[in-house]
Amino acid sequence: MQLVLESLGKRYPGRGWALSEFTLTLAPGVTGLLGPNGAGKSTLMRILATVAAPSAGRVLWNGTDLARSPDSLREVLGYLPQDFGVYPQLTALEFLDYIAAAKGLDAKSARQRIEQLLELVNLTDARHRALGGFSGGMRQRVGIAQALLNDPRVLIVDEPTAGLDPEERVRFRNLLGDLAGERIVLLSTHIVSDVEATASRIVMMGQGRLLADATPESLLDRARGRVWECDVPAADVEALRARHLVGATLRRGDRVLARLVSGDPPAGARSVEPTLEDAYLDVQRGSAVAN
Amino acid sequence: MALALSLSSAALPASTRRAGLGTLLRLVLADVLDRTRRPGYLVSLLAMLWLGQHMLPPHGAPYRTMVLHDVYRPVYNAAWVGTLTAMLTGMWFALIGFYQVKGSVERDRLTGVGQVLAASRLGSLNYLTVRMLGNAAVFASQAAMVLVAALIQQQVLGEDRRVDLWASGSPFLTIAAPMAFMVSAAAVLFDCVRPLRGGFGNIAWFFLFGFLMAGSGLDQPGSSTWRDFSGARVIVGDARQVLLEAHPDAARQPQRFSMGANFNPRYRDQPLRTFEWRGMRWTWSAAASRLPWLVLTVAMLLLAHAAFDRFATAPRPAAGRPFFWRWPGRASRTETTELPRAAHDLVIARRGSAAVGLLRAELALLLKSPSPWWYVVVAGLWIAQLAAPLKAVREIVLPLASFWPALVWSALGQRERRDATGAVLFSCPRPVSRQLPMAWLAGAIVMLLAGAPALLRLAGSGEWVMVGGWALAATFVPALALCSGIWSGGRTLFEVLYLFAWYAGPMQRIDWLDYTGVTTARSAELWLIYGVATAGLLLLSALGRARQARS
Repeated sequence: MQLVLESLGKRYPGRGWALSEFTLTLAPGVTGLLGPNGAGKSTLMRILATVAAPSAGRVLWNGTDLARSPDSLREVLGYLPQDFGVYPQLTALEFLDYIAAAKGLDAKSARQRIEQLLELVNLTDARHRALGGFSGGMRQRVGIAQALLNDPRVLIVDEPTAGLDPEERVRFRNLLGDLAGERIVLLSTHIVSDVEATASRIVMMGQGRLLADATPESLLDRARGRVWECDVPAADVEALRARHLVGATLRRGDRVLARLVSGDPPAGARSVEPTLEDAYLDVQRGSAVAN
Repeated sequence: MALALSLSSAALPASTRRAGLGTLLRLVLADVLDRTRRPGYLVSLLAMLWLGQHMLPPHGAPYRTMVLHDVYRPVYNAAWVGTLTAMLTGMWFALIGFYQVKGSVERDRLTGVGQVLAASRLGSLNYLTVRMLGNAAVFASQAAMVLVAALIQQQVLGEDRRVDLWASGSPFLTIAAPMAFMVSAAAVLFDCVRPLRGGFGNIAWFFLFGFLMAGSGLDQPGSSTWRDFSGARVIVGDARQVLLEAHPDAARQPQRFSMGANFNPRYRDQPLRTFEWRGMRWTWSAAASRLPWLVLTVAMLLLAHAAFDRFATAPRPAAGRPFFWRWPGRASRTETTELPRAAHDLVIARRGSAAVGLLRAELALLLKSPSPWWYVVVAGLWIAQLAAPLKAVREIVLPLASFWPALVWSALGQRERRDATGAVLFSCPRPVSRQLPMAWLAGAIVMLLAGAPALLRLAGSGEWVMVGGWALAATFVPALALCSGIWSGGRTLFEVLYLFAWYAGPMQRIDWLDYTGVTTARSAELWLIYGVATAGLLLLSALGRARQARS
């Protein structure tokens, strides 16, 4: 079971290439997709979800070209788009029933799964309420439930934890981990800790291109020895930012504890263990320098 | 634009954030730039240019547009070309332009930009004035291009090629501008009054326009000029006076005036007699006839201000369910035999034939949106279909029943975009061949249900042709709705098209527009035309949906 992306490109009229020369092979397991705004993550997700056609290259699902046969993937696809919407007049139960019908699922068995999914996303008590009255987080949970309706082999989730409270985020992370076994799960997010908690593989993007494709461990190894902490007067932070890539800062009175990624640390800085966020910044900085 | 508007407001220094004239003009400019870059603007402009050109038929044309006393029209000089084009432009603004500019306040509400503006120091009246002026500026930009086209058309027609910019352009100020302002303010008012924001407002405006036009007294020289909504009444009065001065014998002709497009092949060989009209000779009384519409503009703006909630209400309030709709069968928690401990414990839903479920779901989506009062009217129409004489049912009740679900059908084809469900639905298997036919079929069932009691009576009376006509209509109307919704991305196009078709067809008995097939006897050609049109609309819908699904 594999999803192969070959030299994928997407060009929008008047906006240039949002994605270019993107080559990747996805296998079972959770792959985290990281990148800044405008990196092309959602464009990539839309192409993989078969709702956008690539301008160049092709996507192969178990050897079948999706341009010729998108339904081969759609049959086993669960997709939660970034801008997930619902019909406000329908209840959660009705909406999921509608999506199940659109996916071609038998009504009776779909109903049982819907009930279980509603339980799983903690919406059982709200299942007869109109979606128009749902909060953003509740709608997002409906989105997660609809993506799992057909027991997907390929699960594509774009910013799935947006709008979820911390407890629900943890619940969703556990759910993803639970699902990962024999499925291809592609998780796009800005929240590095979500990826850290669930992904066995991380793909980083920048300006529509693939910047890194590695395990979290190897990314951390790559960043090791390049992450520093230094204690500087608050007034010097701007100067520090001008010379180095400063990540987190912690204010302590009139001084600031700054965490930075650099090959040439300032005097007095001490080396610290990198986090995935540091590794991410390091890769993005490398890309910016290269460009 | 909405973002630009909020940014331009937010970017102002606090000391100057009170809206001065310069600020208002910047906001109007941002508004105009945004709206003139929308596809609808270009479509509307092209339609205006096409119509403007054809309102001036050359010699030998098989149709006539404006005729005085049955056989006269003014020479196509600078004054007449400009005036006729300005009248047409004003009427276009009132009939079509309203739908083009309506929704600017509502868009701010839906995008959330309204909340940002509401938190700024921009006053409500200033905000609404900006929106009204934005509407008017959009109209002005279109009118300017229509004027240029009219000047070119005058040269092409060649009856009088003397260029007189004032004679051609001033009617746009005196005739079209008051209408443009009034329509602009009306669009803002409709945006601010909750019941008028959506499809009901679109329909209400159509009837209001008809009422205003009917009250204009176009062919009633003795009527009050203050009701002259379009400005045509004073223009025609003056042209008629000039005609009688130049051709006293014209008084012997019937004092008829016609404006529109009247086709007759005989007209090719029967050119109208012409007379020289050099432009409107404005009198105080004639000028005063335009003032009420400017006063009405201000009044509507003030009314809009009174009704404006400054975006205090939520953009999408929680929708209540109609009193009897419960779909699907209410499953209780006890029906679930075993709750899952984790995702891998979930039962697997089997694949199967989902057509019935999808049709039921599509039908529920259509029928859950109207309020309970909509169903009360349906019940009333059903009672009328059962109780009224069959002739009245055919000629009055069924046309009304065909119109009543218009706002239900107008959701077809565009709700995936409106509610942002497209990405999920189009990633499902066979998005075109599975979901689209069910949506169309659900629309057809609504039409059949709307006329069900009458259909039973017609069938009982052996009127199978009428039953067949209604059945064909049940396929045609949702196909039109689907196609309009998919290609326009909104509901307004269908609502306006359907209103015109309904008014001209079943109500005015123009047989080729009587899509219901029950008010007039339908010829074999019309059966074929409606059948082919339905198939064509469905094909276009499928193509549009396929394009959406892989965009």
